[in-house]
Amino acid sequence: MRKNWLLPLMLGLLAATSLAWGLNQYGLRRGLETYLAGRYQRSFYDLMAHVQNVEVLLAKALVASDQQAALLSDVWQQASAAQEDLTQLPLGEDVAARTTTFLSQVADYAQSFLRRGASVEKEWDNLRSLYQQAGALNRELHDIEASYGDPRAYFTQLTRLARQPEGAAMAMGLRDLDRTLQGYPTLVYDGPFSEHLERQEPKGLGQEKVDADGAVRRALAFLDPEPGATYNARTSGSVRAKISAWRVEVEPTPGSPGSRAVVDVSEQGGQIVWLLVLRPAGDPTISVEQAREKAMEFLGARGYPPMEVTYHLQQGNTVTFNMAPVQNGVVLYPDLVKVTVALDNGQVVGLESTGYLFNHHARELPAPRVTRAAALAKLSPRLMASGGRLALVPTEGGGEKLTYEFLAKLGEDAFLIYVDALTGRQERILKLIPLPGGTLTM
Amino acid sequence: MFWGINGGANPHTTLEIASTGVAGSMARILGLLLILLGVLAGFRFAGAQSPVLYWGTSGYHVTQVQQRLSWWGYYDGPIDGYYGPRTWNAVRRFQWLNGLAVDGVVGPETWAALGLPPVMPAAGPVSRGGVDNRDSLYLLARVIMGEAADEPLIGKVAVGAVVLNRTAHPQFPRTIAGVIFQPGAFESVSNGQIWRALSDEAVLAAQLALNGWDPTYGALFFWNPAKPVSPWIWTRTIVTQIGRHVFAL
Repeated sequence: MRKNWLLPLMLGLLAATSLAWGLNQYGLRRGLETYLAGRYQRSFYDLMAHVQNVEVLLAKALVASDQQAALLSDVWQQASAAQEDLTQLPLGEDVAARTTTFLSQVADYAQSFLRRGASVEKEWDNLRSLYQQAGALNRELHDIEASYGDPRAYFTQLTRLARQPEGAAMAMGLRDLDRTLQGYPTLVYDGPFSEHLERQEPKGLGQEKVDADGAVRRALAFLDPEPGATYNARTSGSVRAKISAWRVEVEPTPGSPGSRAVVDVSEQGGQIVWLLVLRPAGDPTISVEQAREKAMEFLGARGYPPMEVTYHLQQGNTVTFNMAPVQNGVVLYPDLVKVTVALDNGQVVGLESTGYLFNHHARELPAPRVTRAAALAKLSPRLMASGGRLALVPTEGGGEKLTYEFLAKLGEDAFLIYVDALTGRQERILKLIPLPGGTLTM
Repeated sequence: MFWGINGGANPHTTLEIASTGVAGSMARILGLLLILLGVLAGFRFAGAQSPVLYWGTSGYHVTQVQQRLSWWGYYDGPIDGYYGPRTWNAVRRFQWLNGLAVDGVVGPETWAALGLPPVMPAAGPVSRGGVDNRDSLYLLARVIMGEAADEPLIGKVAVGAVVLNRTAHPQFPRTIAGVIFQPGAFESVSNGQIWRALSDEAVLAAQLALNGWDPTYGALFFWNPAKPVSPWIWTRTIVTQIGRHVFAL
């Protein structure tokens, strides 16, 4: 008789335990879902608030006769915040691309406006177009908000769908957010997100076309061989981008010492875009000074113009040198080549020349209109300044400016300060932060 | 230049500012203006001392200890400059086998027993405040580990470069953390692969990417064509294929 009730009792207990466990798990999951939905909801409502502020601030900036700088710095801040909110929503990659770009550009444009000290009168068309787009976006967001009824259900659904690869939101109105902004003209101004930068083409490639065999020959001739090594090479692929290139894989011939390497050779001009020797560097036998000479000699022997090392960084047993060409005593910072030297045997194990290939061309450098002494006088009187050589620096909008480069110290803090040699405006300040192995600038 | 003065330079410090918002994106676009001022580091001989390292410390001296322990076969973790459980275990094993007090702390005796040179204090206070970019390097190495652990080195650098290209693109968040943790952006973040132990190669790849090596020529997307992906992704312009990943603008 006893067995008859023992089994059902056990099963009953088991069922009750499972049920309790399941309910507990369900509760936990709901809790997390609600929490996550809350986070998304916050991002969405913040986005609405920030976009609304952008619209209103742009309208004010258009009519203000004073204090425009204050309004535009608010635009900058609010648009950045809106961009951040939007990127925190679980949307698929393609859903809000145009809108995100728009918000980045508004922030960037406002910043550039302030930096240039522009006037509303001259920038009226740009500001007005941005105002209209912000207004359209604001309306769209309010429509979406009004259409989804119970926000809790909406965002819980969003949270569930967000786990799927397709993203999610989309089914629910955000899908077509970008549509609002289609058809507005693109914006060109002096800032890193201006659309004209997308169209920049490399200037330093040369004309000649190089086929796969030519690329292999170039790679083998360019590579810094290890002592006694002979190499085989073949193309292993290609790259289709603003610089199209052959990817060449180099291997030591069987029985030869040496290591594998990868070299990218541009199709147009046959230039080396980057190279990397795939070996760990052993214990140092040469100094950084010797490595620097090696790097200079390496570039010189391969037909680069005279270069100057502007910065170096030691990482493990390798040193990377940033080298810039010098034209009539002016350092050309945009045309940077990076060369990595292994400290064990002095082999060049890395090179990166995208900056050089994009920017290097025969330039007519302007004559400075401000003297070095006058530029020096622009610096804060608290600084101990030295240096003052001429340097060409890139601007954020992809342009170039001739500047005086000063090394300035305030107590222990050191800075590089660039003063425009044509206008005398302070173009840029970099703070130097010494770390083991090199100096970080910010 | 610093070699032999401070006993060697940090094997795993990288110096570039690809992390902070506007400054970061700017820096990458402009190719970065970085200037050599070795004198600023200002190393100089003064009273020799040795550091005291324990669980939780980090930095260049920890790297030195890890390097030495790894050469001698006590340690097989990443040379990452973080004194964590693996370093602690290795130090204890080293101490035990070499007749030192087994406390898991690298004091003067353990430091000397490791054959490491005495440390020269830097001249005067160095004004770097809290500025460092180790955090960006680590986040980047993590996502490289999560997304491309089995890829060749170039494939790893490429994944790091995509993250950095995104920080410089208006369509994406402006910081490395923002890009990596954008909802749904990286599978390894969703499934936790990003928290795997780091390999040396992932750290090296992150350094190379931060130093500007970009085998993807500005790509913003990558995917494995053998796996199911959103059909939309195939509408992007493909730049190149590296290992198992396709990279696209």
